[in-house]
Amino acid sequence: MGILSMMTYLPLLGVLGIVLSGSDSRARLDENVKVLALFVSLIVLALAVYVGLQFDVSGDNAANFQFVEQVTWFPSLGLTYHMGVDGIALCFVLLSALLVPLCILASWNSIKHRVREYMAAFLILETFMIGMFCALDLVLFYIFFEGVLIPMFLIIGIWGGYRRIYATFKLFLYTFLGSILMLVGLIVLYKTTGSSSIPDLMKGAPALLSPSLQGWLWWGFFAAFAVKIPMVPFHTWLPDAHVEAPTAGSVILAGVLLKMGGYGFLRFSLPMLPQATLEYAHVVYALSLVAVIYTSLIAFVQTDIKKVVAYSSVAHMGYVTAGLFALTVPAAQGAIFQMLSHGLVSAALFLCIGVLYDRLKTRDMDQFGGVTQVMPRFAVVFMLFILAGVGLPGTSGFVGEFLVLIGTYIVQPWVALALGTGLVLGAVYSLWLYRRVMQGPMTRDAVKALSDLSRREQVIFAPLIVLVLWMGIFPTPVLSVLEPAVKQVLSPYASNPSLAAPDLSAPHHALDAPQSVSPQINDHNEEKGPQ
Amino acid sequence: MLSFLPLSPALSPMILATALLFFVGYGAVRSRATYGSVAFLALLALVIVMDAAGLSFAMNLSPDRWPSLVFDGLSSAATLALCGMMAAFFVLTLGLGWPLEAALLVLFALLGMLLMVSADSLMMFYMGLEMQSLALYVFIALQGRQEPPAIEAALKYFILGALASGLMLLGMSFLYGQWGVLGYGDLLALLTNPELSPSALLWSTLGAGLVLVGFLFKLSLVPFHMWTPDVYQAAPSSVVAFLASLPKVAATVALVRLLAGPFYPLMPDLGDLLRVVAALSLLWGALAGLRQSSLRRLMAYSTIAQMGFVVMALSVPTAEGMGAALVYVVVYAVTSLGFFALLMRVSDADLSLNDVAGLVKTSPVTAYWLAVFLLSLAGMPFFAGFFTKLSVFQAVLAQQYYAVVFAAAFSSVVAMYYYLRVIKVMIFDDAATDQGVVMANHGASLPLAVVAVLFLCVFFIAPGPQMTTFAQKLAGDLLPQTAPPTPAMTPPFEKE
Repeated sequence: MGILSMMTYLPLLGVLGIVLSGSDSRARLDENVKVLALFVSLIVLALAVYVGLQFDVSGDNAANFQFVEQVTWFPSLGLTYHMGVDGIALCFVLLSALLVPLCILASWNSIKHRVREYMAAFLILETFMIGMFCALDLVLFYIFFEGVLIPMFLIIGIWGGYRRIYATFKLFLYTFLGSILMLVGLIVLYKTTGSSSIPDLMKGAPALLSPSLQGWLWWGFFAAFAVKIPMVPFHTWLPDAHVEAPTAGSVILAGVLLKMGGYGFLRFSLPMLPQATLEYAHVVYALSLVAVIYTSLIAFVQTDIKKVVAYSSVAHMGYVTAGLFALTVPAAQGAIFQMLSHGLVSAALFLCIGVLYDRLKTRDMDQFGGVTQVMPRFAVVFMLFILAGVGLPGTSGFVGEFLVLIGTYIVQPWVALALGTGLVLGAVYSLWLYRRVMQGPMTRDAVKALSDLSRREQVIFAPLIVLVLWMGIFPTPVLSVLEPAVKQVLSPYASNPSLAAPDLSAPHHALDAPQSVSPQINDHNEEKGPQ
Repeated sequence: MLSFLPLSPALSPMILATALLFFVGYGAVRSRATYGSVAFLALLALVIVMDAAGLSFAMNLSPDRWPSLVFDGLSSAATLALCGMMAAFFVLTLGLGWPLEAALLVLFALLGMLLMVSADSLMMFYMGLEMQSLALYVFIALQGRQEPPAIEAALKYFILGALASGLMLLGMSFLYGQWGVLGYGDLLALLTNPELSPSALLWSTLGAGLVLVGFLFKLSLVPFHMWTPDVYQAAPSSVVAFLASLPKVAATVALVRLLAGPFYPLMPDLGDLLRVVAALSLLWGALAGLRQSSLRRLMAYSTIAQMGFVVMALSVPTAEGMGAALVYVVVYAVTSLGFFALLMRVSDADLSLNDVAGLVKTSPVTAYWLAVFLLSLAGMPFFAGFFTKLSVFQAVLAQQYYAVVFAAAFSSVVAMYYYLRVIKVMIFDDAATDQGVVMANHGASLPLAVVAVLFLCVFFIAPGPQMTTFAQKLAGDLLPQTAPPTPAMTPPFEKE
């Protein structure tokens, strides 16, 4: 068993341990289960870091999938068990492995009933998340992509807020509708090309798929990923899910699950369907711009703190989709960087909200005010992440947004300009949120009694602070891990003159440019007749 | 030279049942024998039968033909599956205190099903089907002693079933009138004649279509599904566990034999018919299930949608399609058996959704395992139901039938809602009363449920890949060894 599989299935071993664990006292049992879950997730994190250290960043292998495992699995259905990571996947694996222990720590005291089930659900979730980022077979990818819904459904449905049932059904059914269309697309892709291996398809699929078929497949994948990331107008499940989810659920939702959509675009739509991508890129631009501007405005009028952050997530994901479909290396790098950064920052913001909610049991802005005076440490932390969300230079948020703007400007100056307004709007609602919650006069008695961050909470925030600052000040390591993989993803567009060499004076006929594609899996092609 | 060895699996329940019938009829053992003791004897016999079937299966004997019967890989595999489920059913119902006759009736039903899966002529097939159906009508009516609504259910099932049988016989008479033969091999030879006259084609298609009606009734497909919700709701869970598993497997296997055999030349037309029926069942099974408050009635609509998947796969006359249908129906049968067995732990009577509210507090095992069954039915990865649905989708998409796939996709999303609703009621909601859900703990359902849950959860590692490969091989052996009927694959969507 390779290290990726070990990393993926270790949490399941933890689940087994939780199921089998027993103790005479309920409290003791809960405590043991928490420690066990934390321990398992920390081992997974250690394994992920080990993979990161062993990853070949600059050698010949840099652009390839590494740590590959490949075993025949369902021969009659053409499935193989195929795992591996490239630079992009590696970053997301690290992000997932980092957030799960933090989530478990964050739930330490706030989850009081059905603790065993809660911890088991989080470990199962971890298996599916890491598996999804490592999967290199079409159906294996789908299995993990879809499997995430089961633990998430339970987490929101059991430990969620007042309208949890509505929110969790909406999350599940929306995502399921999108992904079943993707499943149909995946099967057509497999049946047409005769290969279910993602690396092979990334290289060879464009040559085997006719433009009209590419168009159909593109919309099938779009249905799944646009809902997941989410893009306007498919985003309405997100605010509901965020508001009702327990803190840790929101953290995972914003930190990892949203990234699955962007990751899907990077794995399928961009490399495998280049002609359709060029044809429909303008749709994505339009929806991204709407997301950035419209949801920023919506965020501004919310009174629930969680909703503000939820809508800001949609706006940030607007940058991501615009950056991905600009089809330039800096923009794509920026988009991925933005996803990673948002994974840390929004996770941290939801944890901050959790800190407040644990103390006051409300998320209504009007119930706060002047919190800075009683929680100075928390004020600093919250400020830092608010500013990182806004994109202050020196934080990770800046790098991602800046690269997206540059990369988009090369091909679509007007889109870049419009995206720029989102920065301003983002600053408006974020600072407004901070002012109303943290500053101003302290009028309420409940606020006066607040206590500052506990040791446990400081431990949770410390790694996030370090990472956000590190990625903001010295982003080169992350970017250099991403670069070969991004170039590989964008290789079908390499011959596109307006994309390769930015020539700002020339007219931009990006959509008409000829495609370079390299047919490499023709040998699979003979097998595709009816059996 | 006719050998009795391959026939023994089908014969032994018949001998057992007939012997019992004589004893009971003459009152020799009535005073002492109980359902439990007969079921126990039958259980032992079934183990022997399964050994024999497994042996002939493992030896991979060349097809052994009797007049009107054929014993090949498919029939031994089906015998193995049916006897295994039958044994599980006996284990489940041992302690229920049923009357002795119940054991006889299910044994006769089993005999009918074993004849169905081995039938090589329309006559033998019809005999098997009727033997199975009549035994089941009485079996359901027998439950009326404890639960009066069961009599109504049995009557509905009987009247509609008799109508379907009549139509089926009419279809067979058309075929016989046209060709003068009833054997599968003879029919296939006559129908593959390239110079088939239009009228002969018409009568054959009409006849074959009417025969299919009988199957569609047994498999409960729209528009022949009306009996399903009533029977599922009125009969006890233990009986529904039987109805939802064995007859579906037997009917599917028999249908595979027909569609891959004599009806193969008619498949272009029959396939369209089956796809329309499948699409209607998928949609209606999903939509009508939304408003149900009775748990078993809801499961009936789920069955209708599930069988839509089976027929959708059967409409594709390739080894892939037929193999997918076979694996699908076996997995479905195991799921149903496990689901209703687990439901018996709560109660053998009809349950409304409110009755299981907060089940997780009383019995977390029952609640979470029921959730596993529901998620597998809904086709969530990584449970078995996902892989069977995947293989159906693959088979159908390989032949580029997109419309029915979209119906199936839509149906899956809608049906997901009611599966999730049951999970929500069991796991998220609080109990309706203070003492929570009262468990009846009927029957020996726990061991059966353990096996079924394990089967669903590890399907993707252990039996799944092998079963799929094997089912495709079995179906491939049945299909006529001629050129494939569909054109070589062109990239989809190019036709516009």
